[in-house]
Amino acid sequence: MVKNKEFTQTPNSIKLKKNEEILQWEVGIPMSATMATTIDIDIDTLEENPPQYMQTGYCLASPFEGFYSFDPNQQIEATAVHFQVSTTPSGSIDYVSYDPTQLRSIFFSSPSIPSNFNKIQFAVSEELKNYSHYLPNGSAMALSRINALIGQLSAIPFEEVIAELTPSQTIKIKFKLDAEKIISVTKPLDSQQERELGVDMVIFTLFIDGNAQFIRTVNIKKVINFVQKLMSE
Amino acid sequence: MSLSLSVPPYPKGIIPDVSFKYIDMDDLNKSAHIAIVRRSTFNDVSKTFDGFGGVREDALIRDGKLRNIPGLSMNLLGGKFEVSHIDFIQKAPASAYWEEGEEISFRQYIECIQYKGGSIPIYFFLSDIHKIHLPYTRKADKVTNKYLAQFEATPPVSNNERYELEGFTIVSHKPNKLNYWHVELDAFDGINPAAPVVKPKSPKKGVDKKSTSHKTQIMLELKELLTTKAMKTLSDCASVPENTYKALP
Repeated sequence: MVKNKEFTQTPNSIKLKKNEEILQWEVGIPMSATMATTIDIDIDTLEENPPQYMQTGYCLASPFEGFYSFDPNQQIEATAVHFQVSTTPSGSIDYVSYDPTQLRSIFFSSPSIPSNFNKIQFAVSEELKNYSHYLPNGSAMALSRINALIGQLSAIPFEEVIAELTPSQTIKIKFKLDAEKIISVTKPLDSQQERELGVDMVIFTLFIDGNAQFIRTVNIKKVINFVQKLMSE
Repeated sequence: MSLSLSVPPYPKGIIPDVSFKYIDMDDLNKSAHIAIVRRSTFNDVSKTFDGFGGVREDALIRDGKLRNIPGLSMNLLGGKFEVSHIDFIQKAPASAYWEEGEEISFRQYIECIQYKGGSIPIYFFLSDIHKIHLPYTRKADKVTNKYLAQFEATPPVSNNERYELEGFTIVSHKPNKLNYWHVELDAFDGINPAAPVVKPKSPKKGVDKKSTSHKTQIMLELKELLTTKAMKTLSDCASVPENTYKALP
């Protein structure tokens, strides 16, 4: 596993360096330079296991250089580890802490998906204007969790989106998929609750014609797969 | 005109009568499609409901703490409690539970009534929130094994060595001194039938933080159930049959 790669970030891309070779993705996760969290990509895993990604429908170009092109409805999944970082006024990054045991998946999206990302992010930012007092202490980490969640949910096809920050320190994002279907995804923003529920776990509800069909605690990847399958039927 | 003159009189019809008995909520749930109402924490519709017509969590729970959900106050409709009665709040000692056969003197509690005009109602159907399963998992460790053994429970274990369990909700009839139609919502873990799930403020020192994780799962699902089943308007509401609350002479 490659760790501690250097990288720089711009609002719409992440550039990684490995053996002085610049690796760059165009990603669906615009990352603000002021956000005190960033990601490290397990590139070796991707290099060693391209068939796995082909089999699951992800198309990963080779070599790892330049922009990638892939099915606009798909995302590239990678293992990420969370860092807490501080930034200088010029935007360069100094690591503050790094925990390799805190792994999670992130998703790189095609350039078509950022429009979904922007819609979700707009809904969240509107909510933050009025309800940011519901964020837990250490709101930088909470914002990081929100950003990661938005990136993952950007793969969902939807018509409308609304967001809700709750006083019990969770974020709920609701999508109107079509005239009949609405889904709701709720994730804890507080570290302890997130750990207790499971890092990649969310509360997922499907509404059809206004009636909740089920409420489940599930891995977010299953939610995305379920909704993509549901909407392609 | 002073403000006090605009306050309507307290609806004395909702005060418990000596001839009343506790309502068996299971029987009531089987007999009719009963509705329940709770007062929003906000007097503003736009703060109570979201853009898709769903209720916001902070409109249901004042400070949103998970531990405050158990014992969530609501009111049964279809009897003598009308939606407009949510404007009246019973403060201690009027908020203390009424006991069967107890005769209430309204004068004794008249100072314990607060009026909050313009309250926004949030509706539920009893059948949507009573005896609803809340699936959760719990690590198969010594603490859990000891707890399960205490109640002779033998739940299945999943591949990742976690017990697969099911909690459930209960709506209980909890009349108070000035409101017979007061009910409360609780969640149970499906193991201990006597103790509602109450999330501790924070784990005690030396206690594995994961030992509370099942409570977090239950309470997050309970919140989701509440916000999911809440309604902005009520299309129909059955009457509470008299024989469910009036004791036989």
